[in-house]
Amino acid sequence: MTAAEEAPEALSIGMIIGGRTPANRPWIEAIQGLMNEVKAARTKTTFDLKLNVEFQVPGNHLDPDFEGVRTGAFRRSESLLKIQVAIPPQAPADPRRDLLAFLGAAVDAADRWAVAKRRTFDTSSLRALVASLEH
Amino acid sequence: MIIRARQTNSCRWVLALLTALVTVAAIVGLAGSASAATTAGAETRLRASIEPAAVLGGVAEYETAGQRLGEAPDRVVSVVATGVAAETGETAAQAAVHGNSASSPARAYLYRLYDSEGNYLKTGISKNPTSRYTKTFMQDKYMEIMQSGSRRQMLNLERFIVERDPGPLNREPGAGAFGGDVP
Repeated sequence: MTAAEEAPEALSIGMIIGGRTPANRPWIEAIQGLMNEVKAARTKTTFDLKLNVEFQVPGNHLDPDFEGVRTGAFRRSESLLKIQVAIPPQAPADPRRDLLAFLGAAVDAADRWAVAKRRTFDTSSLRALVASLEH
Repeated sequence: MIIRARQTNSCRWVLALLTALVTVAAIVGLAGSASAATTAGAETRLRASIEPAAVLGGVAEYETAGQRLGEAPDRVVSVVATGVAAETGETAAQAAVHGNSASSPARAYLYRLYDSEGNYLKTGISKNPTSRYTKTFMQDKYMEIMQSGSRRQMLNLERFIVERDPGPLNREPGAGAFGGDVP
């Protein structure tokens, strides 16, 4: 899959659905919508740190093996950090609002990770990008 | 007459002594054979003892070779050996099956991959879908788990689907070979 890989974006969203159920349908639709919103909102300006936020939606075949938000691997050459978010089984009335909160928590987790690793990244651009989605 | 009577008495004494010796020998012989019968009952036909033997530092019986991580610390596990040598050999062979083999006992997941617009990209299988692709590749894409089961079942299902409904990233030989089967 190396040939199909693209340059990392400042903020990108991925999703793993553990199987479609009626309970997770609102989550899936909201994440698909947010994925396209982020794609349209991000600019070509350079960011210190790039985030790939992966939402793991529980289903009838696979559930996340963690809760909340956690940091994944960091690719130094592209300054790309993966953040994984375990989605709760039950969808709220407004899943988009919760997803935006998860994005904010993902940037917070990136800040904590940078402090723990003694690295200095400016995440204000990422926060501004997330804030621009809250309309 | 007196001499004859003495000879008869000594013969009787010798006979009584011999009878007592034979009786003692018979009792000792019976006890020995009973002990041997008990020991034979605890052994298999191959004379291998079936008494459990505890071994420390083994691998749990539910853990295959592929599931054991290189950095995982050794755990102290009690292994109970109850079989004969041939059966132990078969178990070791099953545990040594490669993770990509169709005979792998690890659970496999059949997935479909889409881009952010919902365009179908490919069908595949993986035993760990969350780490199947790099984060650079997975940006603005999503993976949907369709089915799970044994690797052989998922391989057959994947092949059936890819032969009839391949995505643009299904580049394996035979992809779309039976495209006309899909109504």
